[in-house]
Amino acid sequence: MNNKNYFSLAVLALFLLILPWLLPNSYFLNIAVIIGTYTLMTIGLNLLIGYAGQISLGHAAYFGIGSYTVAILTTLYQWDTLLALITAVLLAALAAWIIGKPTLRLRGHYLAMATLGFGFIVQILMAELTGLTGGPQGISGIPKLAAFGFKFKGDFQLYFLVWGLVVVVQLMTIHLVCGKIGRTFLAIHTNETAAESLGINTARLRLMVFMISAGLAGLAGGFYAYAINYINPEPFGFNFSILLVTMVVVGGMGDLWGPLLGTVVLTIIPEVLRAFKDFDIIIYGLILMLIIIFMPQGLISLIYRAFGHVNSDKSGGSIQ
Amino acid sequence: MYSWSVFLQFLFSGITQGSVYALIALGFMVIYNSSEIINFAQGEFVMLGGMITVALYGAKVPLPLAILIAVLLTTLFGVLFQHLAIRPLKKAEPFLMIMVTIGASIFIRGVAMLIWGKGTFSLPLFLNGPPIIIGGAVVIPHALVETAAALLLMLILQLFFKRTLVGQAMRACAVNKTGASLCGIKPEWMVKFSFGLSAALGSIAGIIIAPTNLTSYDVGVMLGLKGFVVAIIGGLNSFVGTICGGLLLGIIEALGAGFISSQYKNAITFCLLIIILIFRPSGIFGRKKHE
Repeated sequence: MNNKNYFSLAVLALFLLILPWLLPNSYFLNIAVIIGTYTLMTIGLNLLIGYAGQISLGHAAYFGIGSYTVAILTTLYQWDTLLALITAVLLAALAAWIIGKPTLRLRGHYLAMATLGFGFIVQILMAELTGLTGGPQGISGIPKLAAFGFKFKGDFQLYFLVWGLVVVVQLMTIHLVCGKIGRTFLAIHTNETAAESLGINTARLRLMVFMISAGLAGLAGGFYAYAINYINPEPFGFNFSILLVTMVVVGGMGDLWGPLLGTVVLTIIPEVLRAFKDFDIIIYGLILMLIIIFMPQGLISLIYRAFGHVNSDKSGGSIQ
Repeated sequence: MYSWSVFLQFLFSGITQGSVYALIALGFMVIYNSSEIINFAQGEFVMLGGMITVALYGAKVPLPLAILIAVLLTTLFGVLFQHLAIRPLKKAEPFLMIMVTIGASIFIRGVAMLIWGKGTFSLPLFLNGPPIIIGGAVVIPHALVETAAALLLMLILQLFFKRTLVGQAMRACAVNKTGASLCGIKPEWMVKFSFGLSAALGSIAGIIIAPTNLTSYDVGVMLGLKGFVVAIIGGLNSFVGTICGGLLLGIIEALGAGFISSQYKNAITFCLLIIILIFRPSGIFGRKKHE
């Protein structure tokens, strides 16, 4: 099972290596970079939703914290770009710790509610702390990422950077899910009380996964700031948080490859439907409802069925 | 500096706004108690109420009739929503239930945008007349209608749950589903009924708020979330708690917007939400849950 995932990842990496030469023009390359950025986040979010069984309805906030950390540190304080990116990841994880520490002890929807509120507060602060964030106008003139004497300038370099990160993150996720943590989550899902009586600290484990997923969103946010060099508060709102969760659910939560599929599908659909303009919001809502009602395992289950094996990739907390 | 009358002015507008929040929150509470679902489409019921009334009134339907039709249509919509999207899920885990209501709210909002566009609309004031002056603060007659209608509706709802057979059956289901079904109550029907009731409450909130707050296809997002915060403050299980929660949030918002900054109005609301979740997750006014 483990080997199969590593094999799939190797195939994916090879495919990603040749993909840029298969794409007809830079428009497609640009979309590939966007998909990579979102995938960094949905992989982390899937760990939280699919394995730790918690919801975040404010993940755009961590994405935003990552972006603004990079933007502020590099433009106002002239920090080294790599150092700013690392700080962005740590700050996003720290924010998750502050919100998660008191609320993750509780059962039910409390984390969902707290993250939702947090998301709104962060976006309001972005628009109102004008001295630091530039207010609604945002921050422009963010430099390109330069690391180890190399500058990531065009879409081509950005493509390899972001998908390189995705492959590394996915490798670590496979390791995490198929290892001790995955088994622990399986135990928690099967019987939380029994798991706790065996000495598993469920609250601490959930907090850890929450911080990992927020850190990944911070990483994606930092990358985003370096990629487009201009940010304002608009993309970091409630709708984007919902879109991220939708990607995970539509792809297949609790599955290692579901989020990637969901991100690809839900990023490409609006591009295809651009001709219909306002229709995409209806399509999102409809897809989300239909998938949950008729295919709660997500689109990935279609692929497994087509290849004839019944979800044997699931090691950990697929939710019944 | 600020005088007493300014404070009073903010207080009155807070009470008006808060009573509408409470109405929306009661919709959350009704559904949660019958099915343990947090219905994120509640705000869309609010939007539908206001927008359908605006559309009918625009088509020269007399206002009272337009209101009646809007409430009935929205109620029907709530029942239909439960039948098409909630019922097939049966006993899915809470997370999927939340997501399906989020999907529905996005969908309904999208359809509303297609039908009515992105413009902002308004209804005429229900009661015209010279403004009333209390302690130096100005209150328009419509605000009184708004508050009175909300409070009256809550009273009727309270009587409904206490005195009528259907209301008692719903309460029985909330306490113990198996026990209730052994007594011949069909929990499935009660859930359906609660969605209808909740949609009706939401639509009325949306209608009475439309003349002063304006309405548009996306008005439901924020109003729904405000109602949701109030429901949490009220503990999701207490009638009086929810009303107090609504008034509290309305007043805090109005004072915060007036004395601190109107830009931070929503931030204040969500800070309050997080503080309550951290220190009193069962709500300020809620009865303690057994856990």
